[in-house]
Amino acid sequence: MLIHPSHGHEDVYYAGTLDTLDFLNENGINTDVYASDDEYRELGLHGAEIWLGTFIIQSVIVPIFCGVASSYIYDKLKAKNDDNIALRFMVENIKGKTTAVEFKGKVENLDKALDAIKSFSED
Amino acid sequence: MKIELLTLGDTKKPELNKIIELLNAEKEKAAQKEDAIKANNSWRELQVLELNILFIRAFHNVKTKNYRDAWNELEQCELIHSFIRDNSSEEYLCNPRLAFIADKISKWQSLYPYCLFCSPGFKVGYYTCSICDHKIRPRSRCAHKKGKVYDGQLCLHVAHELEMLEISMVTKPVQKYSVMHDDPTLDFTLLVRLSSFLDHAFEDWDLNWTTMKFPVERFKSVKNEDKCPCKSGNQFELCCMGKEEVEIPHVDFIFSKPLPTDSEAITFPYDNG
Repeated sequence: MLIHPSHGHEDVYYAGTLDTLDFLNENGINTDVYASDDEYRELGLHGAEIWLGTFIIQSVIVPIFCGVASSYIYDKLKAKNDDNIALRFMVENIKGKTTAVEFKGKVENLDKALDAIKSFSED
Repeated sequence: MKIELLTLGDTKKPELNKIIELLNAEKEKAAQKEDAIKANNSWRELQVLELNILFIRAFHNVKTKNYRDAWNELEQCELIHSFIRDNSSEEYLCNPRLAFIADKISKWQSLYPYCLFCSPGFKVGYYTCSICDHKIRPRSRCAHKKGKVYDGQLCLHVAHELEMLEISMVTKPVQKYSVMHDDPTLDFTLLVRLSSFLDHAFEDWDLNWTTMKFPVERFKSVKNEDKCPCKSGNQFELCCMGKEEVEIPHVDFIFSKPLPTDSEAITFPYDNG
């Protein structure tokens, strides 16, 4: 899986991207960022909204990814139900077709969005 | 050595400084001997002491109406508690004093009227590890994890080559101390009311957020163009002014000690004016 730069910036990643990267790799999802070590820059937007970034992901690992992402958001980031969260998935199926799914809203509704992505990836 | 840590006076006792010096010395000694467990335990004890002192100061500042200072101290309590939580066992966190403070920090914060904060946005060139100075890159890490304690030292990531991008106004800040408005119009009634019943920082209390309906006639002090007391964010005129009753946020305070009967009276914030 690949993490892309933040929305609206070509070369800058959301704050905490390296933490997300480590968590995904430690939990069995082989992940990288779309930048060289020299180019990598991070954005420090100091609002408490959680911006997780854009994930390019193959449809076969969507179910595992959704479980790990949920664990990262609740257990590691200690997100509360009324926190705002934004993330975008680019899901690539076996035939190479890519579909974008974007979620921006309260953490309490995230599970519904993840379930929708899971069912959609099974199609 | 044991001392009581309950009041502001207790935090100024020379014995407390001696304990802190002793723990610092033990931490240094253990780190030199590469006894990580002992060094980390000393770090934890020092953090818990600091947390207690800050919490007592915050309570004292609420009591003496220094609300902004108390707000900043509560935020420091929140940060210190998060570091202790991430470096302690579940059993350690069940310590009654620690659990009490953890429970009360956000409850005190919820009673504040602050709702607008400034939030700086940066582009960060790179981070280094606060313990070993390693330059953190996507494919290059050191042995230390951010937020974890090693030989009595907390690992943090230090930002370098910061480029300021913007300053935004936000309702949910990362740094709570960046309050944008601190003027006499702010309403601290809830803090005044709660603190008037508490004699020290560790007396138990709880709260329950609910709503309560009042006849619209009681809201005569609210102007047509003012924000509606129901907190919808709309103008009173366009919201609840035409209704028979207005439903407004209400909080019940629950105490473990008996209170005088007149203290159960409901405070209604719109009677003045």
